[in-house]
Amino acid sequence: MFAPILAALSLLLAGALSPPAAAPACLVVLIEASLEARGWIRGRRRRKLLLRVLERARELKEAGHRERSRELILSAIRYELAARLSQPLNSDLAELSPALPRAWRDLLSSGSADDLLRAAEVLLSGESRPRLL
Amino acid sequence: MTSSPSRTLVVLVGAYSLVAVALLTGALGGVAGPPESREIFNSPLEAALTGALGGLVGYLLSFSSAGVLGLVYASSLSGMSRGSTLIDLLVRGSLLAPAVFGFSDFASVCLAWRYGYAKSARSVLKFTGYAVVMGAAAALALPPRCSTAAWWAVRLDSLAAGTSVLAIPAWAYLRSGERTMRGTGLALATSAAALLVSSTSGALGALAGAFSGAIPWLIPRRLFFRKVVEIPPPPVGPRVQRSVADDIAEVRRLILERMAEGGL
Repeated sequence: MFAPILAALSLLLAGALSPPAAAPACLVVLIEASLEARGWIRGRRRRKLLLRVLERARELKEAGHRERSRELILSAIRYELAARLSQPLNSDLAELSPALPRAWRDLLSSGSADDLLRAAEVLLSGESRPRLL
Repeated sequence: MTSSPSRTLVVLVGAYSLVAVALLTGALGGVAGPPESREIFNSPLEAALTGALGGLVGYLLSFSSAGVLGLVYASSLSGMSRGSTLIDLLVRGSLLAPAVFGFSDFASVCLAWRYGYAKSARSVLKFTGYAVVMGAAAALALPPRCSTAAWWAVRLDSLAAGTSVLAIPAWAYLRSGERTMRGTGLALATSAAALLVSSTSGALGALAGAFSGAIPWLIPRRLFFRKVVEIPPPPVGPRVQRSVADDIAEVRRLILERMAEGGL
């Protein structure tokens, strides 16, 4: 909580004492801040994408294409889990499995479209009980 | 074509060494002439200690500035040893060694960070030792001007001294071992190092720059750790197909358990 305030104050003070000496530090902090912002923006974009995919999967399920719906949700969950586990985003389930909790592993291998849909909602909401949508 | 970290490191260090040698020999034109100090030391021990300190400061500044100050160092020493005998070449090598070691270790830490390899701070200590020995050797070989090898950093201007915070993220990686460090922790370490360098000047400024890499060790380690977003447990388990035989076996097991307890 105090770390960002302390960092900003230190940098301001350093700049006031000797602007040339503080210039490289400003550059480094700027790069660090931009990397942090990039991570935050990517996270938001990923969440929006997952929501869209889930919406589409729901439509497919209602239209009777349960298997296609299942595959779509499975792919979305795999992508989200890979991002959360800091694995390459194109990792397949076999690559992700060792890092996954057992319950997720079992669900992804044999869960139905309904189970996967509820699990994806949980993954998005961050709670163990799904919200009523 | 795949690039291996080791090959990248060799290429980077090779290119850096070539530039440093070119600057040292004046082939690229030094940005500053050799320092004027011509102190003669009373004893070889004094010369060796001064050279060792030069090696230490040179290594740390080269690492901390991502190699920038190593090149400034090489440039400021251009023309110190112009001979082409084997001894002269060895002396040049010893003069440059701390700067090249510093850059090499910096590049190695950055590559370890990029590819997710573990990197121990012990390797930095090992190369610090090499730099100290090489600095002392160069000082013993060049007694009239060895003090310049130790105190070249005094000649750094503010901007050059400020570059010694460039490698703070690399130092922080050595400290935490985390690939995805928290931005606030990194920003705090960088700002604190900048404040330290800005508030000092001259020889003290150079020493502050050299030891600015210690700042991540003064900050609580948890500040570098990113909050882990735990994966919540799924709401339902997989539905396992059960057979009638399984159900009968389960009921039978329950009845037998109850009978054993004397309930039936």
